[in-house]
Amino acid sequence: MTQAVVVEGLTKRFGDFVADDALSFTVDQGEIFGILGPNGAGKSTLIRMLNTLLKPSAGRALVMGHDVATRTAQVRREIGVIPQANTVDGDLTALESLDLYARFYGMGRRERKQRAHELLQAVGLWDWRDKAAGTYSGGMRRRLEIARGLIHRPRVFFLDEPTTGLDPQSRRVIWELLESLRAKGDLTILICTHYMDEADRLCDRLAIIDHGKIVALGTPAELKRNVPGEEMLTIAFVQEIDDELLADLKKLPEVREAAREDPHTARLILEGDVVPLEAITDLSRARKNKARGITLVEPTLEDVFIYYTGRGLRDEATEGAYRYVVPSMMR
Amino acid sequence: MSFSTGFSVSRTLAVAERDLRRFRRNGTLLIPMVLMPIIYLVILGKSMGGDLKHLPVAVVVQDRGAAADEVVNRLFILAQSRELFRLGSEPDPTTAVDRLRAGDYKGVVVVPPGFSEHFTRGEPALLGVVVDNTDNTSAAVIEGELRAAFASGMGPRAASATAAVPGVQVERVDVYGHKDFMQYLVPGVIALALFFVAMLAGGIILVDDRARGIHEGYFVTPLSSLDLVLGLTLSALTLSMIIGSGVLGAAVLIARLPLIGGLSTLVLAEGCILLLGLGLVLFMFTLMARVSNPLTPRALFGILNVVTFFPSGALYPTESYPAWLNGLSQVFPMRYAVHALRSLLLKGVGFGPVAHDFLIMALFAGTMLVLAVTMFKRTL
Repeated sequence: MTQAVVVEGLTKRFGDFVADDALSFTVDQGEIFGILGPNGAGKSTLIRMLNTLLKPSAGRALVMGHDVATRTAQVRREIGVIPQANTVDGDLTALESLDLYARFYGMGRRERKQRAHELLQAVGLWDWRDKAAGTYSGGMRRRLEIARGLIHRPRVFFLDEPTTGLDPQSRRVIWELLESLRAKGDLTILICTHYMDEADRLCDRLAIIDHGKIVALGTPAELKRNVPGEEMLTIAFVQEIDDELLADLKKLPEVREAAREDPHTARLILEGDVVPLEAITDLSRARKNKARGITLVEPTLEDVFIYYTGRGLRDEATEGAYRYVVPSMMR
Repeated sequence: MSFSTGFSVSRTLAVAERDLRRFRRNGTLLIPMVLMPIIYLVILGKSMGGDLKHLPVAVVVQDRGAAADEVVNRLFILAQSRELFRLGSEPDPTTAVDRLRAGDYKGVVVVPPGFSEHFTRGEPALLGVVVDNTDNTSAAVIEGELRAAFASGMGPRAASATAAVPGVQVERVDVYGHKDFMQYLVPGVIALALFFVAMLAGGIILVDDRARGIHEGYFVTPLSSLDLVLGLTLSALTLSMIIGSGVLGAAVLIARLPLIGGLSTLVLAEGCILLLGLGLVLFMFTLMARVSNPLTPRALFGILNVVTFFPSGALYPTESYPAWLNGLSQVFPMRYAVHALRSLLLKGVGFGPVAHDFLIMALFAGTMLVLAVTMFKRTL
């Protein structure tokens, strides 16, 4: 498969502060590639380098075969970008906004009109097309930005935290939009997020970045599998769990730990990956307390994220350093 | 490389259209830009520089001769014919000066004992004039008017003045007819209006757009620095022409300024507005090329106004500036615009005498264009 994005040893320094440190990865065409990381990890800097907004300090990156440092004009024609900050022009209507951007790409009047119609329908803003964007809700503005980023049919679409600050309904609408774009198969999407459910649902592959380095890379399933830790099991009983039943569960050789999650549910931590289904059934029968359901609790992407990036809050210092050294217009 | 050299007419026009559309939708922003210079013209024109009137002056007559009566008569004529003085009478110099110190008078004229006798004998007759010199303007006018009034025919001397030449009359001839101070101010207020447009369109709105992320959205498109600067310049210049022409029209009407030279003067004045508007807008773009804090242009507004407008000759002749101030005013195009507009509107001189001003304004605008495009960062 052809590679839409190639990143090799990409580094960005702001003075002594290294925002991104020799990052390397590739993104295949048609893939949705997620970039996860805590605040200040270097995600936005990476996206901005790939968007030609920041010049790399070292290494190189190719977007659709064009070097982001030397062939900026070619790169800009290939990409659509939804920046982290809201960049919607509140004084313009949705139609005017799309028309303005289409003109930046030299599109003809007829094509502009047709494409704007098609995109505003797709993002559900057709009925709002003649209203100033300043009157839109946060979700509507984000959808307008998505339409704007797609106006010139880019081949690589960058989204920097596209659903941050949106309500669950708006987030779902944006996810569905991105899924429909993926279904067409001709658009490569790079999405920066720190929402685990978003990454899990949308991304084919993920890179977790922390302190400017890639600490994990793979599909969501691969990343979850690679997290070392206990298998967990919850068992819901019909009647309340008494101390004897809990003690019997603890005595099972496959079980390391057993505890009540609530009066009817027991949570077991297993020694290995073998689930003692028969023993549990026998115990429930012997104690005359039927098991209504057994659920295997798998690690979530959040567990993966915390495993690789830790629990400590360190964004304050990093963000502070970032803000201090970053040139004007950065924030 | 941060400076992209690409240029496209279509992209430039798209930027300009967007900017103008925004101005149209925020029309209330433009009202102060038109009103402020007009208010400036009316308030300043009526409060400064015009003929002074009703200056309170006390007369103390300590001599009963004919010459003393003649002095008092002349003062009454000045008071009544030109309404220059409002005369009061005081019994003695001490009382009169005390009341001057208390703010009741701007000047005291003392006709001392023996004045008429000296005058009749043909000896120097000394007329005492005491002025409140904390108000230099009034003091100078009182002294000047008294000197002029008594220089012809009488030949007395004010106590603090050098001798006037008896029998010499000076008659003033206004080569361009009578011009009042408000008319003198018209070029200045046009320049001031263009400064406001440049500050708003080239400074405040530019930096606000940058802070709002509008430019970040632009920078990931094929839009070049040149497209962006030219597009924004085109819209700001359109606004400058509209506001500048509006203020010119209103100022000409309010100040009752006859348009000497007719259409050609008007065309040249519009040309001057265009060149000054262009220069100021590009000057602002250059200053704000890398500014991201929206408070910066607002904070600089007052300083820039003082530095560019006040030494431009809009309010006071540049010839009287000290060398350093003269040098400062020569750097900015305001001075040349004020000179050109004053020559065109008040004198109707035609292009020849203002060609030098036009050339310097064009050079300034060209230099600022190069600087603005070079400094305008295409990356973050």
